Amino acid sequence: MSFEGSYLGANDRISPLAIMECKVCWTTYDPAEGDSFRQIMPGTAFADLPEDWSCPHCGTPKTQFMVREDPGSAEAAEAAMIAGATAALEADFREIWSSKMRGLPMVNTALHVEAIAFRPHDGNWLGVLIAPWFMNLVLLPGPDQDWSALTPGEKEVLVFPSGEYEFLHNHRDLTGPYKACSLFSPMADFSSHMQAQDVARAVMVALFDPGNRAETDRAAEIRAVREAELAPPPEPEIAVAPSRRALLTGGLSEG
Amino acid sequence: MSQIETFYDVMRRQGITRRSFMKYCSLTAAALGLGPAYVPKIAEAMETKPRTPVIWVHGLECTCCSESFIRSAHPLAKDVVLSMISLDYDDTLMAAAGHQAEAALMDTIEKYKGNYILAVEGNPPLNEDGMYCIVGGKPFVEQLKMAAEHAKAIISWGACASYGCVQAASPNPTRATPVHKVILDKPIIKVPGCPPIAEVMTGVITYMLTFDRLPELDRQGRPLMFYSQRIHDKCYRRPHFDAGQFVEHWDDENARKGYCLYKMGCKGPTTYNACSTVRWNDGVSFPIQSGHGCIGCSEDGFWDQGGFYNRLTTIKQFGIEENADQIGMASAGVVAAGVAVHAAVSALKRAQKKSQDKVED
Repeated sequence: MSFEGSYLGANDRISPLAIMECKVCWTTYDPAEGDSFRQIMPGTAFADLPEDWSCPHCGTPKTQFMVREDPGSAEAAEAAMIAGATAALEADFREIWSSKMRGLPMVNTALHVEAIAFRPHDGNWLGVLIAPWFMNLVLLPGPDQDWSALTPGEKEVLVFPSGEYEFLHNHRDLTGPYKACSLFSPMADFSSHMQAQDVARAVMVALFDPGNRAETDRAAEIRAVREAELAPPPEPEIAVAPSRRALLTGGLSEG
Repeated sequence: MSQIETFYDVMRRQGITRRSFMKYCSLTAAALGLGPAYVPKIAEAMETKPRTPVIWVHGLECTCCSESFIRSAHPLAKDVVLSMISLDYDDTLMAAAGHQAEAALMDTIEKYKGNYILAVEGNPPLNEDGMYCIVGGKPFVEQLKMAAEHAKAIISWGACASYGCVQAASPNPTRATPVHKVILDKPIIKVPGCPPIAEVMTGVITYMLTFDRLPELDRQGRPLMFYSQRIHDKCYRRPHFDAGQFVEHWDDENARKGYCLYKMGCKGPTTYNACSTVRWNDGVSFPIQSGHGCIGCSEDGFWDQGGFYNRLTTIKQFGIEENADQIGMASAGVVAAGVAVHAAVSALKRAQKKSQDKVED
């Protein structure tokens, strides 16, 4: 069986859970429901449908169906894992907001806690956490990572294409260990939450652009220049008196 | 313009023998941790490499900038003073005194017109024709103007020269005025702080000598590599701020746990400086690490910004973003993609690590 609608007909790219849609009349086939018209039992994957199965509504052949959503795909599984990790982070900071920060004069009440633009990064999840009192780049541990040894307050330099960033180690009871790099705090410059979201998304793009590197103090270059000035002259080739053996064998014995 | 003297020329002029000079070179090599093989090289560098003349003048100030400068560890201040610059006039760090010293100043200005760097510590008071600060029998403001006229560039050391500091605090009886409001026609680099961090001072001066240009400056004229980051953004107590854990009273349980000092008046959220990354005394500590909030000494008019222990309320009133790297989102009032991208890029550039550990290819 092949279909043309999505992934150039690559059957292995759709999972048994994929919900497919007729590209002519937008009728969907959901494996969870099956197809009462052709008496297909619920739980039958799209790929397992009979060859002559066609759209129950307009008769378009099976090959012309497209993926509408695929809860069984790798992307969906990843998104679910990220959602799980960020949900704890959001809940944690919502609690801080309600219990400790709400009354402080420096918070921006136009904003709310949101973990945004998270994506996989070297086996971990990287994204931005917006809160009424800060916006941080946040790195959450991926499924195979053990960060239990992190000491809160320790600094770690992480390298991205746009430069080196110091991340601070953190630990929250609900979230567990995570690493954060401050982007904005306080948040008075944002007039709406949508603006903060736009900036957060832009940060995740700009972070990976080598063009966004700021000038450093160039201390290492200055040091290199100074050392080059003070470097000793190259060692002259010292003619060592040849040994008796070397002289007699013409140097062959030294090989 | 006469030839800029080398270190050796200066020593010879001061009557130091070749023998003593070579001895000095071997001592320098030993002090820098270099082997005897470096001695001829050091001698050669000192004999041939012209040093940039620096005139360091002092107005109304407390000398804390000089005190900080001589404690620099990376690079050592003595390395800077002895082999990179030619500190031709600095009334604190020079051997000459009295008329001899003033003669040295005139001499240097005359000889190296347009080629020397003027470092200013303190500021000139303008009331009563500058009579509140007299150097060598003349008002300091005159010395400053005279020295600035032929300077290649000016460094404003400390909060005094950059913003006015305590002597310019309201009501400012002597009308102490920061350097950039007196000298209007020269490139001025501000290195504020009370005092500035030693490594920042030597970092700025070695940068200018090595690359023969000013480092990248922000809108206020401060070098971005040291003054683009808020104390608050790189503070090691930041996780406690994020988590809403604050010290509520001096010496309470939270103070012992090292929680955030915002409620005790810490000015970290409005202060741009490198304290939380470079730290002080060769990286040992900085005020927040020793349990006291930041007082914002490197910001404009920090004596007139309310008490050191009053907590920051409306951050906007300080106009920090207008002061530093303008984002202009709130003022633009529009949600344009360009604005968001600009804000994102500026935030990332601020957040990047500024100390360079190794030379890049």
